[in-house]
Amino acid sequence: MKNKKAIEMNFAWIFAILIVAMIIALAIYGAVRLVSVEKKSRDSATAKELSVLLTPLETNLESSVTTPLQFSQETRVYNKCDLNGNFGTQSISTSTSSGIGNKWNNPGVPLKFYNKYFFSSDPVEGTKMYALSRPLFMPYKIADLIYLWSEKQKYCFVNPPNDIENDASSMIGVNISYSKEDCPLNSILVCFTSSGCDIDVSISSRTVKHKAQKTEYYVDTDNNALLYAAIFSDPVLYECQLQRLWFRASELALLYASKSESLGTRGCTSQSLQAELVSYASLTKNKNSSINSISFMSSQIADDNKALGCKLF
Amino acid sequence: MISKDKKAQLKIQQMAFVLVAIFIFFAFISLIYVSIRMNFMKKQAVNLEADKAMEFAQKMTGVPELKWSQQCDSCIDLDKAMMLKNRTVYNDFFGLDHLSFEIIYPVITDKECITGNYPNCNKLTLISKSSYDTASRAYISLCRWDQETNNEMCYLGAVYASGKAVQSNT
Repeated sequence: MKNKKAIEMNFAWIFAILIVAMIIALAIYGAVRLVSVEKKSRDSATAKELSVLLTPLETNLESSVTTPLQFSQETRVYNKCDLNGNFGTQSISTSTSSGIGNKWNNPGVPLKFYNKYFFSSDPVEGTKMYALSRPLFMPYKIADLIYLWSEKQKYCFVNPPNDIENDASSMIGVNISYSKEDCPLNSILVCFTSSGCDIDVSISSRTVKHKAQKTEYYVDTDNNALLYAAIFSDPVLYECQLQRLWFRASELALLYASKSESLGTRGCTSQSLQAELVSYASLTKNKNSSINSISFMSSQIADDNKALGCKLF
Repeated sequence: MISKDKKAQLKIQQMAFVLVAIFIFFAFISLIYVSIRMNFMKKQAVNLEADKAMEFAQKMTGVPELKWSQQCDSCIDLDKAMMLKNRTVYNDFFGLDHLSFEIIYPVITDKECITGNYPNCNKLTLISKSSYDTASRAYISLCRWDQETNNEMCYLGAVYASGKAVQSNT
């Protein structure tokens, strides 16, 4: 019988190998977890920074300026909306692209706001993004709407009316054209006088229709705030944010009704306007109210307020 | 034979001690790293909250619940703010731990405004949670409807805002 040579390993070696393997496995696991936690914390901080950066946009002074937002690497901004509570909630979270494993991991901790209204696609993706803000008055100021889009989303407005053309000329990433063919390649076509584009706008019926999506209705305000919201936003998100805006309008109506009551004790009374405000509050709180009835009542309140000596708003 | 066994056991013990020492060393390093990171993150969160409060104080006059009229972009409506004080639905709405207004000029009796003494008071606190630390200040105009002159009346005032306190589990 031939003598077969074998490596003899004593217990000390086996024990050492096992322990070293365990330490290396633990170190790899720890490093992976650390990287993931660091990434999540960075993404959460980015979302917070973004919300702080966008706060000054919500003033009247900077409302018509497109603000560029530059990220250090490719980022996704997730924009969620829900209708829980008195004002609904706006959630913003971000995720940065990763060179290891999946390009996009789960976003960081979402930041919740009751007083912010972002209109965008979900998610918005890119290294550079643009933000624009417009106040919504119906009839009093309800909120500042923030529109968010990325450098990857090139919009092309085809045959817009004069006021929209003027607005769009100051928006970065938005081209104006008089025919679909003149629009840059891969741009999102927004048609105002024809149909069959990515987004069809009908000024006469006050509707915006994204391709293969539900029609969105908007209210014609002086600064086209809701029209731009419908264009730049996903239809589902638009519907949700619009409902949140009505919730806030409802609470504001009650606040103005209380103010009117208080002014009444100081010699400036308007009981009819007070009653109208209470009705407006219930109309805007009701999820089934039509946008046209809200718009009609809003104009009525605006007219009554103009006639007052001590204006409510 | 016995001496060989004893040597092996001693070696195993030595190795086990070294491994335990290495493990404890790395555990200490990790603890120090985690505590430094936690401190840094907490500082970052506190700074971001302070920035938020500062931005909020500066753009306060654009907030629909507080803005005066469309004619004045830097005025706060004291009448509306007074009504807001009694509305609990707004408790967490602004995401702040402290929000108050103070009339600086002309000097009025140093009193917190309540329904009974308004408008003969100079301080109006809308939010005040015990956890708030320092508040950012911005100067604004505070306006209200005046019964005697039957006209609007504005004062030089200040707004104080403080962001949410950062919760610490450590």
